[in-house]
Amino acid sequence: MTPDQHREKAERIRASAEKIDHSVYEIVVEGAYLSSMHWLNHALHKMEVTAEDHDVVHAEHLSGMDRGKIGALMPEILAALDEMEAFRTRYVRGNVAGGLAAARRALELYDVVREAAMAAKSFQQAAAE
Amino acid sequence: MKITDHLEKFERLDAARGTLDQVEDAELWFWTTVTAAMQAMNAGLHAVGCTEERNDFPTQIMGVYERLSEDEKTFERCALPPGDLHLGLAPLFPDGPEFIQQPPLNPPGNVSLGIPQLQRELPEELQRACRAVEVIEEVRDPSIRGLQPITPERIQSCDRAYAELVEIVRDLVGEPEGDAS
Repeated sequence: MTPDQHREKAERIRASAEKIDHSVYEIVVEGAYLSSMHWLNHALHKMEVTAEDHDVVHAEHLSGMDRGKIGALMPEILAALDEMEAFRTRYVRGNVAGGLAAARRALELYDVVREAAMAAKSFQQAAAE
Repeated sequence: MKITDHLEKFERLDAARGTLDQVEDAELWFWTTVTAAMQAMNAGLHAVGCTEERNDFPTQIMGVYERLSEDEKTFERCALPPGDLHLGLAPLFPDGPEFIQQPPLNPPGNVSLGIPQLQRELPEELQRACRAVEVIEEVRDPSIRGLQPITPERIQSCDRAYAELVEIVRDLVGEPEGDAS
């Protein structure tokens, strides 16, 4: 998928998540994560870390090399996605207390990922600068 | 989690699913469908003794679970036998082509991911439930992560599979009672 296609998907999913009552915090978290993953792929393609025909499915499945590149340019994206992955384990698949707060935090993290992704630029260009 | 916890989650997720438009919100409707299905399926697997009811939660790494530490102040990860399954990462028919065709999840020679060895053979009704899960999962990569259109036919097939899964689990555990229409 192209960066623009990822952006469109991310924005559609985020808009749908607005319809979800926060008492269903699982889907607020999932919506934030799923749309953030599209923003991550948007960023990776713009950074030329991954080709448009290769999309990352989970942040935890990134190679060490890719994590290193992303971490050098946009550490906030990795930190945000890792935090969201932890929320999915604990509040979506698990039943740890604090789901409402996790939902609110997931939406904040989505904004972090979106802003960083929109500002992403080629790894080589960033290195030259 | 415990069966009752899965069912409590299922009921809320099932209700939320009904608030989303199948076309306008297709991606999140699907994602809610699969998330609710996961809860129902885990309740069914626990009920028949295929997987263990425990107070820990599956991570993205198959076989690795997270749980609260004894003092309940931190979380710890540990390798455990199958408890709750994370359906997207745990194909229940590991010989199927959909598993073999996803090398990033199980690259050749990588034995660390493995496949959960269930505590007992799947009973017939849960084999049917697994096939329903597969119908739902067929939409995830091409249409939610990718660009293949989420056609009315795909939505209908997901809806039918979800209804079948919920009916099977309801028969097994006496719940859930959500609207699977």
